[in-house]
Amino acid sequence: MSEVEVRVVSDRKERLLLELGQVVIGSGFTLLRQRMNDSAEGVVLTLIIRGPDARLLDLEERLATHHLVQSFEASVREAGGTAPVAEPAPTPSAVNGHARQPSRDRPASSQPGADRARLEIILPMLAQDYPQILPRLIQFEQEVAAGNRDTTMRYAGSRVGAWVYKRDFALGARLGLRDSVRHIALPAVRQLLAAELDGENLRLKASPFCGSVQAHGRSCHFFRGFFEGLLNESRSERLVAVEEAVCRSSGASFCTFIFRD
Amino acid sequence: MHSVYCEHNWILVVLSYLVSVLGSYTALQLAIGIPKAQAGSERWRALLWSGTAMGGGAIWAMHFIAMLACRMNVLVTYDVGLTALSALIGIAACTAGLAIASAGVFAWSRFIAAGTLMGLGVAGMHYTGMAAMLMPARIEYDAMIVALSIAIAIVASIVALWLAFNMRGWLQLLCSALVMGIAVCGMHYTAMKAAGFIRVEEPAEAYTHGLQGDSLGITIFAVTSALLLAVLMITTVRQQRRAEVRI
Repeated sequence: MSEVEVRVVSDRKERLLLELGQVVIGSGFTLLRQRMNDSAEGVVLTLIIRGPDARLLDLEERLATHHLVQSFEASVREAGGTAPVAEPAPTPSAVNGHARQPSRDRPASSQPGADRARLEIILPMLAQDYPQILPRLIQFEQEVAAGNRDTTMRYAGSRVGAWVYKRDFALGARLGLRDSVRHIALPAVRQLLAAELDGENLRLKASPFCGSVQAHGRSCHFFRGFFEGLLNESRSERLVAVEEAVCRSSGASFCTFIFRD
Repeated sequence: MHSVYCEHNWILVVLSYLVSVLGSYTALQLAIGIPKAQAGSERWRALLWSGTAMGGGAIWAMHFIAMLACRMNVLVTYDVGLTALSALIGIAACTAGLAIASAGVFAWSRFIAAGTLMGLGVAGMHYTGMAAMLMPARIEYDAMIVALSIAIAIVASIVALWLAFNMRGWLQLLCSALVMGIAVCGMHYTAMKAAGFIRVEEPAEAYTHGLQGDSLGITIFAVTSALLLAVLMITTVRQQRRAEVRI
């Protein structure tokens, strides 16, 4: 169990503590203390939380991609202490004014931290190149350690998906799952590659992530995260879970994704 | 036998459709931001602005351009009170309809209710506007065609709301505004077909004291200019916000 200090910057106070508190508790963590104040950056919310190490990455991902969060930092604290344990992490991306620092209870040379730091550097480049992002993502995937590939690519997808939603699909009625897939997920992914509906499911005809010799089993982790980020950006409850039911790297003709809430 | 007739100026007829599309586009641009509103005051502000753009801009301005397009062989002026009331009816009904359409998760029952309310608002505005006419004639309506005009307004309003709220993208929004323009104009010109004007003997004082065409024209010009400005501002602000979204 680790005690973690999370610092979040938002542009609004209303519902900030409530919504992030729900995310923290929903991830199996306990909220020990919180502090909210205004600053030049915006509304700063500091949370001291305690919970299982194994779920920390997942919690960071959910907090970092929350629609109310503009910037996010996390640091591990000494048990019962008042100051963070580790020194400041290697340079996070500051191009968009975001500072994201993964938990620092791992050695500085650990692969997940390095992969995340590299991802933070390429995300603004993806935003500039969008929708021509697949070549850069394929290169990035090849540089990620094999053991971290699925979670890192899924996380990258969720960040891109959430961004696309906020930019292009946020205006309009709140849609149920079926309409969300039809009117948000499908047109959004069609900006990247050919896609079609298969009943309630969505299938991709030529995902580049399952074309390499390394790919086996389900390989399109980026798109799984992309759809999750896209569809969950506007939801605080009944989150959508996306699974890649079938992948071309297993010999199928398409990569098929199923959606459940 | 009708001894009073109306000849349409087709340039103004086309202009009336364009104004209804412009007003609808402005209103729907504002309306699709309503579900995203965090605070209650923010939501109500967006609702009132979009209801005003729809009821006052798309419907009311379109109606009176169309009435100016209808050249009659008798002098027509407009009662100020009823003219203002017609605008309020349109604004209130559209605000209520948009409030229903923008609440909660999309559901057909909600959109049918919202479209019905908006369609009735379009019709209510029109027939109140017709009642505002001061002239040496009375109006008789064909009930079947009146019913048809109301049905056109309701069905087209439902379709327009579905396009605006359910779909995404500027093209869908434009199509929604074009359909809403059909709702408003379709309703109006069908309703004009339902109306028969019967000449009556009235002293001049009974119909010369109301708003004349040139006063209405200035008001309509001001409303249309405000709509154009609003569209420009909304588009600019939305483009800026889109560019500022961080990944």
